[in-house]
Amino acid sequence: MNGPLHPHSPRQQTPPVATLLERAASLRPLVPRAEGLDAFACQQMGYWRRWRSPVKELARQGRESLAACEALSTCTDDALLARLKELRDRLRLDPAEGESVLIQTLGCVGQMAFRHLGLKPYPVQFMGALAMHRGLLAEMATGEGKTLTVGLAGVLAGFSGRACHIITANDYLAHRDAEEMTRLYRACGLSVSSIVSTLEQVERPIHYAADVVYLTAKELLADYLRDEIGSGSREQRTQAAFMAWLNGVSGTQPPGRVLVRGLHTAIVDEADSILIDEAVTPLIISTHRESRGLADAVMVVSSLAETLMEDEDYSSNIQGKTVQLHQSARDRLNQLVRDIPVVWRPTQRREELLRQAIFVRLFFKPGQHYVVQEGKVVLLDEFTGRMTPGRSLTGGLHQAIEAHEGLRITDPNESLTQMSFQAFFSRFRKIAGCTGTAWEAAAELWRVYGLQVVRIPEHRCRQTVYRPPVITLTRAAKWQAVLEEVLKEHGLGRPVLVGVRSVNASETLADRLRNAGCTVRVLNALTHEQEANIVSQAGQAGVITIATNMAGRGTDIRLGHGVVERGGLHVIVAEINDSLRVDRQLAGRCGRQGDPGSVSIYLSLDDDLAVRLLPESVRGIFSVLVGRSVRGLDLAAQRAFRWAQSRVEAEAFARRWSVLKTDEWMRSALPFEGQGKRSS
Amino acid sequence: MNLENAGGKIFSDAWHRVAGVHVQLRASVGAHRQHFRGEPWVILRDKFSNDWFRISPDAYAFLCRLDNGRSVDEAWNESLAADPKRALTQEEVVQLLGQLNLSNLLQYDRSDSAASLFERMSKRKKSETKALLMGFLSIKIPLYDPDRMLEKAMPLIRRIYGPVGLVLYLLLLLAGGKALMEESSRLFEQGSGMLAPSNLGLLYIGFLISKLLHEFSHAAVCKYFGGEVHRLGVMLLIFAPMPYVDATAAWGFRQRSERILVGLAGVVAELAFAAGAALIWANTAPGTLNALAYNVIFVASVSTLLFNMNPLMRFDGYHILVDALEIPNLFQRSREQLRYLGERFILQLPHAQPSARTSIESWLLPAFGLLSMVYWLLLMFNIMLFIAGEYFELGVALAILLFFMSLVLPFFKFVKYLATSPHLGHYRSHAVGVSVGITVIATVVLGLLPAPDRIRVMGVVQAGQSRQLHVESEGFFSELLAPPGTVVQQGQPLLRLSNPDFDREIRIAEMQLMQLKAQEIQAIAGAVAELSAINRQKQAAEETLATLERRKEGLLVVAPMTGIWSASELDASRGQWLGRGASAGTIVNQDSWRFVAVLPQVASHAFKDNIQHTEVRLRGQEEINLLAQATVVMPFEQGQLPSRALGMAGGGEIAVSNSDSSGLTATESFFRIESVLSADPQTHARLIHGRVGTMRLTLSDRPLLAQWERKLRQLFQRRFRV
Repeated sequence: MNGPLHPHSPRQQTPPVATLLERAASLRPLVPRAEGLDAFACQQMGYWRRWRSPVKELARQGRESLAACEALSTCTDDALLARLKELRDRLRLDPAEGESVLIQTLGCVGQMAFRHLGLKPYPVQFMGALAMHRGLLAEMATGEGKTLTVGLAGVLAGFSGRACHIITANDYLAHRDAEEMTRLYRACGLSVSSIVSTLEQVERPIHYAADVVYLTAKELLADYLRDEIGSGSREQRTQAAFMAWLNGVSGTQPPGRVLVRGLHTAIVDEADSILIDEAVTPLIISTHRESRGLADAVMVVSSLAETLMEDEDYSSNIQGKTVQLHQSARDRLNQLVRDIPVVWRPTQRREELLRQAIFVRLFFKPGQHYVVQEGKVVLLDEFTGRMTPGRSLTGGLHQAIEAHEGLRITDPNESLTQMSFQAFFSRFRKIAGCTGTAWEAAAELWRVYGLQVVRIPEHRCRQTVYRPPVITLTRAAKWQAVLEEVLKEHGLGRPVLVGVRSVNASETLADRLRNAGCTVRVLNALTHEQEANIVSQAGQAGVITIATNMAGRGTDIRLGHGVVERGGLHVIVAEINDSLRVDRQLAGRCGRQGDPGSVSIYLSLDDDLAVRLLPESVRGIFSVLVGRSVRGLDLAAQRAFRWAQSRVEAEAFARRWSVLKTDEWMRSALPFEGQGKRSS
Repeated sequence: MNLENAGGKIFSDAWHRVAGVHVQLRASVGAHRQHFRGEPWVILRDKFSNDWFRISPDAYAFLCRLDNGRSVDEAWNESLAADPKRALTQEEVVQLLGQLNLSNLLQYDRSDSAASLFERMSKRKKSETKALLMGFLSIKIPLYDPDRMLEKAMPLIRRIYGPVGLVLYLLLLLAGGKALMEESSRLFEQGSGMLAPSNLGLLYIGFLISKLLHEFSHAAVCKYFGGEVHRLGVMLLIFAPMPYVDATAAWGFRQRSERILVGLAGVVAELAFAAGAALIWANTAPGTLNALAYNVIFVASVSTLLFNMNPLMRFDGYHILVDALEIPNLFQRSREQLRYLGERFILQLPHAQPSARTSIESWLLPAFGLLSMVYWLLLMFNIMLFIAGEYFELGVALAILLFFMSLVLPFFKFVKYLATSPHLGHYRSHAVGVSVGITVIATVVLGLLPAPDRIRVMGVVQAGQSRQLHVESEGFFSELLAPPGTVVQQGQPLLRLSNPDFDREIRIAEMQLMQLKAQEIQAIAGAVAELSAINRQKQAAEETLATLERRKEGLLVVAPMTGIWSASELDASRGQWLGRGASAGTIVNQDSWRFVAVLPQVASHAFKDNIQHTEVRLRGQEEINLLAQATVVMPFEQGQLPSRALGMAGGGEIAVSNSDSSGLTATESFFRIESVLSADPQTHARLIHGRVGTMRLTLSDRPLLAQWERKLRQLFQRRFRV
């Protein structure tokens, strides 16, 4: 599939070939978000489109695809392949020819999947693939076989001959999904590859040359940015693409380019995680820079921060995560001024350092926000619980953590270029996705990416039992209750999965369970190497697994022998997350593919979420009521926690929006990004 | 983008955007120092586009390093090496370059960012159009570049604005003032016709000439101090074309006094013009020139001082005030300070940042803000009323616009602020709560809680019984039988007239009667046929006689009732001839009093309402509150006022028709209100017949909003009869 591209469309007036080539392999220019009334209209359009969802039409097409798939069951393999090639060519010649060709093609691909993977797609999987082919975001319930659905959509995208990248939530999933789908792609005449962070830079172009590439968003954006830094101007690239087309050779890009085929289609698996949760921080390609005495300054200030008392020398706002210095702190900082390197001496600068030092002490918790490994601070991703080596905080915060932990202070990074995921993904020529939890974020997905969410119905009714939430007064009481419930379910021989938020919490709970005489497996950032093993065992009878958010998205826990009869997997949400979607993902680990399962949620008035966001009055009322048999208390508590979650979401949205706005301001105010210097 | 925080961040994540760029101020950008409240600043100005920017000297020092072909990163490193304390942080550099670039003050060595220039241009065009539409009351249309002309006129300008010119100017003002003093009586006499339609044309011409002088004077002084003036044009101020020049080059003057002088120049010139006009007016005979000069006197002095020098409008006065106080952006900052006060004390945001930096500013800014806001509203409201009076539909359109701009738009903005402002942060729910609380309280207090509803009307005191005495028969006033001002009893003779004619006529009548009686006897004897005719004649003669006797009796004026007889004018007229029906004073019975008031038609809602209670205050005895009982609104329209004192001719508020010399006929019919006044001995109120007073009617309680709405409606009704 490495032939030259054929982007001609007979109905259009043909633009210059080079422009078409450029279009087929590059990102769209960024358009600023609508503002004011335009934004309002756009929002209303989003509601309208979600309301009159195309789900009925998709359902019909799904059924027809299944019929087409079954009609081919008598074909020989060779005939099937020939048929597929013919359909592929027709689809490629005129993508707008009509749905019958598309459905025939999809049926054919489904038949291929059946023959080569042994999986026969359900109508809902066809629906999902069709929705993604249309550029929609398919919300499919957890455990409905999204990997195959994405595979089908990937094949359709691969047929177009344009670069197709399938974005997964982490390296593990990228590798796993690509492996699982390889036979399907091969059978359809497409090449597939996966790219993980450990892959050497020199090998990457070979992998990127495949028709369909599985990888994480971070890898793709980082490689894209590196290419942008390294290669020449846009005109030069267009020229190169034209030369390649003239010579009939693909891949004669400027040397050193990694993304040899450019970018066109992105299919985002776990779209909400990638497009929303990870979009808060832009990706920065950086190099070390001269620290200008930052290390010394941070050490001085950090040792001062150790001695300051809260409320006396400074005050903090837990809700807004802000720190305010009092006069006494300022005075003491003033006395130290001679020890601080001269660059950092001006009042504003040194106070910013002190605020950061206090901020780190108050709001950055080891085990939850970062871990220390081999003398280095490694940040944890709050949503996935995974380590993010190579990521660092900017503006001196990273150094403040290092000083706090007593580590060697690293030099600050100097960014070479940066881009937010929001800007990156909203510029793809074609973007589609699927996830288990998108509806809560549908408005944002529409506003930022123009992605319309469709809810694909479930293949089988879910059997999950949601137990009423349990609310306790203190954290200790909660852990005790969790412990008892784990032991009870363990006694029944069911596998139990306990979801916690931090590495520390997972270790503590594991110790207590071990003391109670159980065998416990812990899945957290520190044990990520055993992830596949732990996950494969987690569905066996009587296995207790404690996991951070790592056991969320994409983790497929297959039930062991005899577990179904005992009631399937039991999931305990021991610490409520800031986002309802993350909770739902965790709960979605049970009851997959129509299996039985149960979920219980434990809430405590000491939870971070409650302390930070529930008003004092509400907490007061609950603290009086908890422990008494008040009807509906548990549901009321859940409501209150949901409300707090929605506030966190709103805050997070505001942060993401400000990232986007800052980006836009930078682009309009400092439009110096281009490499081309004025020649004359 | 927050500049406040930028100072603390040495490193910036966006540094890569600027690091390798060779950037510097455009060649057309000039810079100079200015001091504001003792702080030094550097003012940047692009000569071509007339864009302005104010930066700190540290920032300017950094910009200077950017010349000589250094990239931003190199320049930053140099500045850090040279003076690490004063060097900008990276974040500050990024912000500075961004803002300068947004103001089109930078040039740089990147070719492929030209698109952003166009983007900015279209954005600027858009905002200009928007400003034009929003500021439709003052639209500027540039026409001509007067700089060369001024350049040529410089010798003349130097002379005029030099010491000789100053002396001449003072002399001219003195002469003009003297002329006005001498002719001051004539000055005000002529004044009433100023706004008459026939004079409007002349008035406008005078206005135009004086404004032209005004603007040229600005331009000349600006030029005198070395500024450039490139724009002369027409400004449509409330749709009336007026000249304007762009003397903004003066903003760049280093000396504050120079800036202030440029601002004053316009008014100074107009005053000279007014003085000249005064001289012409005083020394010419009535005619067009005289009338024109007369108009100019007012236009070029009073109107200029009221409008141009008024700091609440954004004309010369404002700019002079800004310079004098050294508070740039006074208007904007006063709004910001008001906003801060609202945030700090109403919404109770602890992190709200005041705009005021000194203690003077902290009261000056909000005071100016409030005053200018109230002034603007009043001005707009009056303009609207005025225009609606002339062109009703246009007035209605303006009213809708005013309503939109002063209520709907701020409300919408406030809701948007509550919903989206990042400034609120974690206090959003608190702020929303406070706002909702205030809204609810205001709605309840204004819209639901009934408040006393009162109307005030003018009226006069009348005695319950009073009688105007008239002379029934004409005659010479011969004798006063009772002293006026005393209590007289019913039937008591008051004055006597004498009329000898009556005696004579009675005698004639008697003799005629005697003659007829004789004829009757004759007829009985002779011609019986004539008897009936004679009888008829006799009857007529008898009647005549009786009438004459009655009229003679009428010469004695008798009190028809008991009361005080007041006849102040009679004393002087003794011996004079009093015609029949002439006034012989009034008898007023002091036992009962009533108050008769006039209710204009628009306030006729008082009619349907039941009046709770009524109070009256009389002129001259305002401290005494009289309670009136049994107030009744007469349910029919009337046209004759109960007293001349209520009409405009008598100093009252009701318009009276010009054709009626008595001043009693109202141009607009009204309702009459009557109530009984009781003379309370404790209050020592002296009730005097005919005394004017104000009556306050308290109607049944109703919410304030309903009352205001009614008042507004009545205002429109009275003004436009809708």
